[in-house]
Amino acid sequence: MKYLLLFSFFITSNIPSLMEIKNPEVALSETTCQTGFSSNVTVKAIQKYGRPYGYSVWMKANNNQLKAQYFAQSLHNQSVYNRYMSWQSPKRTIAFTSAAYTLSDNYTSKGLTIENGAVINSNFDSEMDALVVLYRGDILIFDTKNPFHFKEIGQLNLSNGFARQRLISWSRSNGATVFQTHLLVSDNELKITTAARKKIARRKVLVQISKNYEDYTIIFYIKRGEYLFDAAQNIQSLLQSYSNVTIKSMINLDTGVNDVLGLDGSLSLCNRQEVKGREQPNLATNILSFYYSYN
Amino acid sequence: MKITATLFFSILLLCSSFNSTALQSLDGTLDSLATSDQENLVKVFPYLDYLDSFSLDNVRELERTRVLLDEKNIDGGRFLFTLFDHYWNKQVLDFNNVDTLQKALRIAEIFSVADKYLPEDVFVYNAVSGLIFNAIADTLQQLINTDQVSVSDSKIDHLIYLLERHQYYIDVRENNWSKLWRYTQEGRFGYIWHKFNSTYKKQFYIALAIMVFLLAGGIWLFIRKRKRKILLSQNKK
Repeated sequence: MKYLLLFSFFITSNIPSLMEIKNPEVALSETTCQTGFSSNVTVKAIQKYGRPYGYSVWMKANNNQLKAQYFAQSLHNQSVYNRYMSWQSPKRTIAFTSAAYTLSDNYTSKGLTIENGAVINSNFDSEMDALVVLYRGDILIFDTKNPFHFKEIGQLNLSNGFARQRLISWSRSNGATVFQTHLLVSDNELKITTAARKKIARRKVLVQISKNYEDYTIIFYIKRGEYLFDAAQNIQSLLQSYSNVTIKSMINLDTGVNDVLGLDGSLSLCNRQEVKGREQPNLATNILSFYYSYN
Repeated sequence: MKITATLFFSILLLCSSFNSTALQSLDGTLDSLATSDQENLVKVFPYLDYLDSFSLDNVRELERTRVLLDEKNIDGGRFLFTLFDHYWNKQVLDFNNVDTLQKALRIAEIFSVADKYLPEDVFVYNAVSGLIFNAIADTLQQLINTDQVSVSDSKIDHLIYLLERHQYYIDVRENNWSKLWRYTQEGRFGYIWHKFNSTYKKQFYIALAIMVFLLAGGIWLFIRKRKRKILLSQNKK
């Protein structure tokens, strides 16, 4: 009798998450916790087979109103977080997160890094296939393994040094921001293989999707240790279980020693818990933040 | 100081003898290819045959070539870049012969400040400079990752310094102890605890168990020895 009661309690407590799994191959399910910013931002809790897995922050990105700002390094004895705080004080930012990987010895971002036209690291890393360009607040993600069209410059093939220099030169003269990371999904196609099953760790990714003709930028934060490949595949399956979804791009964001994440105070998880990364924001080595601009 | 030294080398290069034969030979080759459309010409040009006839560190000669091509409505900048690209593809970057690499870096340094000694800002020299820096940084990064070179080697360390001076940063891996020391200084105790818990917890408990086992064994042996001594002394009595 005792076991029957326990079993029935287990089944009833998991009914909502079981019902949410539309596709049996989809291990993840989401529960909406809270909306904010005039219903443009939604915080969701993610479960894997009904057990807590992480959370996601969905930001509507229609009409180019969602903007991003990146702080690549500390400047004039001001830490990255202090720079971010001084910049954001008149604004209301939705979220901030660590983004590019950091070199182990000197806290410079790994790969080509330019902040508002100032070159920080010129070394283009051919191993990292996602190029993130922030121009006039818009966040653009390109696959560097293939030639791509950037409307401000034209056709670019970054395996060619001449094209790389054109990009650097353009970024310098136009005050653009550039950084590199790994591309996980591009145009619905998974770009990593099981070879990325190297280390189990917390994962954080940035996804740009189009769902029912609406654009969204989403931060997924997987708190439970996971291989990068599995995290990317699970998130891809979850998003594709929704109807009319196109995953434009999914890129990896830095966790590890620089696992920083924060949300506007009005946004929290289902149990009123604060959404945050493991590390203190004042130790951040770079910060990518999002806000709305209705101008 | 850096700029002054670079300018000094630039002047040396500008003053080096100009190889007019090479330019004439280039002119001849261009004329023979004149039937091709100008854009395609940069692609079809026999760069490899041409590499040996030019000294690629002679800025004056390169600049005259670029101007000559521009006058012929051929993209001289792209031509020079493709020439260098072919040259670099032929090179094997030998990190056992660091002097050659330092010479290449010096050329890259000179090209990176071309706007300081040429009448106009010529994009191609920056691009070539980027090509050299990137090629050396990329190869060095791969060699460090595969432990084929050691960063404790002073010559490699100097190369890294030269690259960093021009904002080409590579990932020099730290050992776990120096990481631990740095994280402690920075107050990243949360991360240290997490890392310990996720990576070293098992090893720590195994080491602890071995230590306890050895200690217990040692104590047991000590007691046994002592008991035997007491027994022997009692027997003697």
